[in-house]
Amino acid sequence: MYSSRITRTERAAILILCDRSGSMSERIRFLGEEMPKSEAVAVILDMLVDETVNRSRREDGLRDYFDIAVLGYSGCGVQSLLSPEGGFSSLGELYRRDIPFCTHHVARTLPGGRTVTSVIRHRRWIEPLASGDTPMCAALEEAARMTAAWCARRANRRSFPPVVINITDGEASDADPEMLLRAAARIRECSTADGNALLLNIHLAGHAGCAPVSFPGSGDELPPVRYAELLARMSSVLPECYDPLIVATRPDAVPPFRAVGYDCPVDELFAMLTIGTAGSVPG
Amino acid sequence: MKPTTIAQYSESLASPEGLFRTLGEPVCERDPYGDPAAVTGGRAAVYRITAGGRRYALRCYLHGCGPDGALYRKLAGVLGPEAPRLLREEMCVFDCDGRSRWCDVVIAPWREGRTLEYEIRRAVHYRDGGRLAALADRFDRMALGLLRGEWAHGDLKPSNIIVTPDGGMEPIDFDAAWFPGTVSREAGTPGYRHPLTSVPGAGKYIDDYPVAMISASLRTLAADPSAAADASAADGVLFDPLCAVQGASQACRTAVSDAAARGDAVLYTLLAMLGSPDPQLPGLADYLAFGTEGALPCPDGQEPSPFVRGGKWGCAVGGREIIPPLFDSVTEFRGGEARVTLGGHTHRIGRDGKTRPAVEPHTDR
Repeated sequence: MYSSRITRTERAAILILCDRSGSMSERIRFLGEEMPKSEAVAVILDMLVDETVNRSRREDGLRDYFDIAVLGYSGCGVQSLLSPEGGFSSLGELYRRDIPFCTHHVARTLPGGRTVTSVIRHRRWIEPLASGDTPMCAALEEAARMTAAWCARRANRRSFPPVVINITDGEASDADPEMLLRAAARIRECSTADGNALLLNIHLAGHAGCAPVSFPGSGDELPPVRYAELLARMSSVLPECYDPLIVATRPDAVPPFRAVGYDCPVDELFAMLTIGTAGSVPG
Repeated sequence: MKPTTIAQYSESLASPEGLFRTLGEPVCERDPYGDPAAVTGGRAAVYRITAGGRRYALRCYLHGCGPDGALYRKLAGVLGPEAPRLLREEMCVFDCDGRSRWCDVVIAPWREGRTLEYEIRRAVHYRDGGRLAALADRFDRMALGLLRGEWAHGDLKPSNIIVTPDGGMEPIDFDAAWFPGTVSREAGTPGYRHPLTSVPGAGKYIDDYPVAMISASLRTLAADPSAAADASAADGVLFDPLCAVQGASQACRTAVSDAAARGDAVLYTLLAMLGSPDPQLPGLADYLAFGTEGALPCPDGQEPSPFVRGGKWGCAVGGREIIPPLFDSVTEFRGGEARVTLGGHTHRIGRDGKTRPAVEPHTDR
């Protein structure tokens, strides 16, 4: 289980759920700039899509290793942010789109102490938004439907199972905990022959100075907060293929690891997404 | 260590001043957008750089599990000055929070050429059986060198082999290499490795199955480039190891039947090896040597005698094997020829072991 290598005939699926509720308008510093949290998360998701494209480049060009979808949830409801028609987009399809670049000028302090300005470019895949309520349960339900449909496709039956990542900074406005647990369970129940879909929940910190917890192991404790416990219960226990990736970041950590992050600064989000989407590697 | 992304490595390569300990300010090849151009594999991104007037492949690791120092010291022992070199904490990258950290990288002299994977796809596209036969021959010669050595590459696959402009082949990406006294870190790539190959149990034999897989695929494609039609979208070459071991590969059965009809004893045997329940394939080097170098010379005036081993027949002179056991049956030599069978098809062989069409009914030995 969880051993399928990603190939063009056995692709992998990444589905991101992104909280775009009003609370995401909180201003934070990211890449040396002050910006709304929604903008920072959009930049990180842009970078994740770019990274996924770049990791699929081979000598003979881009290989269609991944199907990707991003769902945003806000006062506007649940919206597909990568594919106007909804559903997953193949990497090749995304790559062929003419997407404008975004540029950030970032001050970098070199190891010698000198400061230089570095240029970071990414394609603008995701438009930021921060508006209204947090219909997380509706987003999880839609994710369960999309995940089940993806797993049901004959071409995907031996694939590494889909990875669903929910990024939020607050609590759902459309459901109680039991409803959220049921919706999350529906995602985790979807399966290919290689295992059940994996659900990772990442809670973004609401203020500076939090004590972030990411991928807690058996020896780590989440803070005694009901919402942290709820997110942990909603999340998958990660299979062994993730252990080396997590242990490389925290050598003392003891598996099995829970696919949850709590009070994570935005700065850490990209690293978590990178680990969360690297359970299997292409080729 | 956190995983490092291609974006992070590319940022440092785009403005390298002060970010490399020993390579100075390497100049990196750029893509059409002006960004550093990376070719990515499962565990690393590779950039083509120029540093100190020399061109290198710069190998940057993606998942936080970096290169093994002891392994690269051993590689230097067997590959000499052209061996890839591990540079500890060579390259500085920046995390999202702006903090910098140093990463280990590996540099190797840049090998001009294209990967074997590219060459296979190109030859298949043009239905160029002659080119595929040449690739098969050069692959077998390279593989023989590996099989006869004391170490193993550990992750042989066409994307890890460079076909040089003079037609030679050189393996690249040695992170999974095995040396005597060490433990395999990786079991190889699923499309090429035997399904039962495992770490840490794998050893010297870890290259056996990938060699048989690639050689059998190339030889099959050389005989019929259209055989790739159904497999071209997959990341393996032609045969699925799991199906082959389970005896469920229709592509493999077809190839066996065709090889037997053509009298291609080496391919017939390699294809049979793909069904082996054991990842270790005894005799593989002998079969490849026969395929590339032919039979050992037979002394004048002597006729080879058949011998059998493991249910297969070969030929020997004075107790010395000159044709390895490749055939289902062999008759006694008469007038420098014997009849052999492969999968129910009868052929003739000379003292050189080469098959020719049979002209008479035969009696199986």
